Amino acid sequence: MFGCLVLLGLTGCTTVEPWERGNLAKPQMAAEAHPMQSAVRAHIHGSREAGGGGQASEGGGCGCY
Amino acid sequence: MRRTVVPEPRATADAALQALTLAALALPGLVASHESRAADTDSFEFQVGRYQEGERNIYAPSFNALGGSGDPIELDSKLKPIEVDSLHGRARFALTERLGLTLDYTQDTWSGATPLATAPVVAQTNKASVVTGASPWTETQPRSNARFFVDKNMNLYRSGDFLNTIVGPLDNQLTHTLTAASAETRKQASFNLRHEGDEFAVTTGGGHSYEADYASSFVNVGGRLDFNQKLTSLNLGLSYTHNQTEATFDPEAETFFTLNAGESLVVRDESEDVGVQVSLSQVLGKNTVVDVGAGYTNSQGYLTNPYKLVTKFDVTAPLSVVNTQPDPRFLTYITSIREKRPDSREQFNFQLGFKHYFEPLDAALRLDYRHSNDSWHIRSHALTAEWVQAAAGWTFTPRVRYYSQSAANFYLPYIGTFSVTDGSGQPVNHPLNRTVPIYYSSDHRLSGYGTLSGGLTISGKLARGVGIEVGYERYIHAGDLKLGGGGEASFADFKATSVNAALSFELDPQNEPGGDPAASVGSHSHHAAHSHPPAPAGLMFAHALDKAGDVMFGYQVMHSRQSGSMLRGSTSVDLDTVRTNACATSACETAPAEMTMTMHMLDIMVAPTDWLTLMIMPQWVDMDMRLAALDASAGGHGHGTGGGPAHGHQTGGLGDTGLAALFKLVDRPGHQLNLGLGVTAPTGDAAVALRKTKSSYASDPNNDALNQVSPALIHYGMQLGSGTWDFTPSLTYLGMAHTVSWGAQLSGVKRLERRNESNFAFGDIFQTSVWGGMSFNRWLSGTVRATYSWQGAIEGAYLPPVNASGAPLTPVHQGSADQPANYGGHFMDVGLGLSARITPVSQLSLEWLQPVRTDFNGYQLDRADTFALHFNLAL
Repeated sequence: MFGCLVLLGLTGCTTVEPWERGNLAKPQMAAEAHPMQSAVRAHIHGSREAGGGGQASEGGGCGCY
Repeated sequence: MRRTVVPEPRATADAALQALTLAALALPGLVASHESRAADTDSFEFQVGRYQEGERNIYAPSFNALGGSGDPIELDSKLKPIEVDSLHGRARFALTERLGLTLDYTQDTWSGATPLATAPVVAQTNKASVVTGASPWTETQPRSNARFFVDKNMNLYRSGDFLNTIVGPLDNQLTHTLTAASAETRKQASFNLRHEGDEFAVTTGGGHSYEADYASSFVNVGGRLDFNQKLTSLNLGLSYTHNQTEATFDPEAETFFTLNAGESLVVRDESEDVGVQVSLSQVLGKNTVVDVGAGYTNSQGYLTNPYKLVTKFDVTAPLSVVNTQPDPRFLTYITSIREKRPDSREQFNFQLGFKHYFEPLDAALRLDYRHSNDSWHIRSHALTAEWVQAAAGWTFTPRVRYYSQSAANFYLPYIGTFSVTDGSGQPVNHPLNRTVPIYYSSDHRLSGYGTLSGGLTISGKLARGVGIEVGYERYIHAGDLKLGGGGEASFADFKATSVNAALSFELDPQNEPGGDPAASVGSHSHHAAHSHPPAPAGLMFAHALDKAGDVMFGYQVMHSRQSGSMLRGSTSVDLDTVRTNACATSACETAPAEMTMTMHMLDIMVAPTDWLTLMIMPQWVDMDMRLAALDASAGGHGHGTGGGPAHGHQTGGLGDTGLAALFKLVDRPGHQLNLGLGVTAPTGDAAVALRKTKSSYASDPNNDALNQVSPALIHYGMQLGSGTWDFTPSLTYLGMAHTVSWGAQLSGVKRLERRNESNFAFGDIFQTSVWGGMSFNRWLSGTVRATYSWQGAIEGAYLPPVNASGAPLTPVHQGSADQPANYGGHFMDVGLGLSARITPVSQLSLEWLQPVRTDFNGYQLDRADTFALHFNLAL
């Protein structure tokens, strides 16, 4: 929550005009640079590790092996 | 989703900058999830992957001169490590200007050896003398020499001699006990609907994942709100998952563990997960974005892994010995029980991300940190760093990730109980007493450890609208890598490699920035549907490309089913007849009760000249067979982790790869004659083995599968490939007049080798088809087809398995599907098909085939129907 407050605080003092947002729209800056691969990796890591990754529920099966 | 873009007046100086700016303006939220970006065009993606684990370290005691336990030695396991083959398809459609639909299909098939339990090496759960390596040997009634000593502090000591009269040296070394499983396939289908508003988005989705022993259904809803001139986005997601377990423990494993009170061999239970996730993205400058998120997941119900065991030893210590001897040693032995986890879990997670674009380098640095903390006391930290470098139209992304977790509070490598007794053997209260905890698991994924992984992803465009992506990752799991130390010992360490490759296709490539819509429509419009009469979806090699330079991508799925009665030739026979007659040397013990086979095939076609089309066709197959036991003794030979009453087998993975050249012999208006000459390369595994079990080979003098060296191969029809190079000629005639079309095809498969690596070859195939079609309107047409096909029986046969000394063993539990003579036959089918043009350049065809006549070689399960789907896209 502290992070959220800091971000909200920064919000007020940032101005990036729409025509300055070209770099932010680059594929390198997308939410996931390689979405399908990220999904595969998340599934592998999810079946090999016990920590919660913070991904939304997307099924995934037992991973019992 | 196509958007109306209003040019910004101030962005006129530089055309490139303008293009980028327009792209940026077109993106709502800009930094929100990728769905909003990719919804811009209809697209289709196909990905394959492979995960391969390295061999586990397993140990057994050597024997000392007196027949007691010596130093631990590492065993050379002959069991194949875990491997997972995965397949993923994704289609995105813009249903309206603002509504996008994403459909996902995922399939993964895993097989190999996985840890069943952890045990002290001194307990001799693995046998060093056996060439095949480890197998569970944690019997309820252990062998007399599998004993060891324990002191008051639960330290372990070797047994120094065969009769367990000498206490050997201290030895707390642990080892995994592995179990190998036959292949098991999971299939998952899901959807996601997304509505994009001007400053918000709402999403909803759901899906279902199915494997033989586990099914999950899930739904989720989410939303995004943009504010502060779209510099800030708030994301919210809610999800619900319902899981159902129906795990049947291998009946043979019954000798390896003791059921707790109230447990049975079959576990039927369920669990639910409810999750909520909130995150905030903030643009900090024209090159920097940060995001912060938090989430909570609540899981209730059966959270135990039904296949994992925990080893246990019990010490009974007379009070007189405890009181009089300063440091007594107690003789004991190991048993196993099923693991037991709490039926509730709460997980909290926190995430922090940072992305910065370096303009001079055209690259971005992406950092991501995740922390989770749960009610099982597992605390985890994961830090990922990626460098996304664009260069010459390609993107190179090296990545490194570090993960560390602490152990669950009920993780125990093994359980030791201690009970102090009085003179009459009755338990007494004593500070040394220890009992079995309420919850316990020795699954090493719940231990303390760290992982370090790194890899590289390369992506780029092969042609306009066609993207390619390949990735590699190396993964190291080690107790020593745990943050702050104190991780599990090195026996649980392992390494893994994963590779994947993806192709993506935009269905409207002209919509891409830089594309020329007019030129594109002009050059493509006649490819997919106009000039070609519709061909049935289940047919291969029907169409050649129009002219030099054309490229077409196709995706075909064939799903066929066998069920009903067993037939001899074309006559239905009862199972007793099958048992007595269908197997060559002895009575059949099993017969198939139901079989499904699914093939996914890509076909990529290129025309180097007007009259020649070259094709490459990789395939992925999966098969599922349910078996009926014809004899009481065959009730459960426990292939897979299943077995028992509903026992069956699954296989899946990469199949054979087709390569073909299509020659246009005749190409006149209304008439086309194509000759296809092709081969299939034996890329599919034709040596898929069943898991070895203790009773697999009755004729082994020791009745001990551990002495069996060569594996028992699965039923011929469940191998993933033919194992031979095959010649695949075809001749296709296509005719069309107005709205009516017709065609005929002769095709065949000729095996070019007499035997494959497993000493057999499938029979040759000959097939004819004739069909007629009609266009109902500009986009929809239908076909009716009749086919006749013939396939020869299998030539050759599996070699018998051999034991350690090379002597052949007689396979047991043989069924009708294990006989080469019970393959092939004569078949007639009728098919009804529909074909729809989706866009000017893409077409979807479906066909349903129903058998009308079946005349099998030998004894086989009756055929049900076949369903075919064929999607193709001209590029």
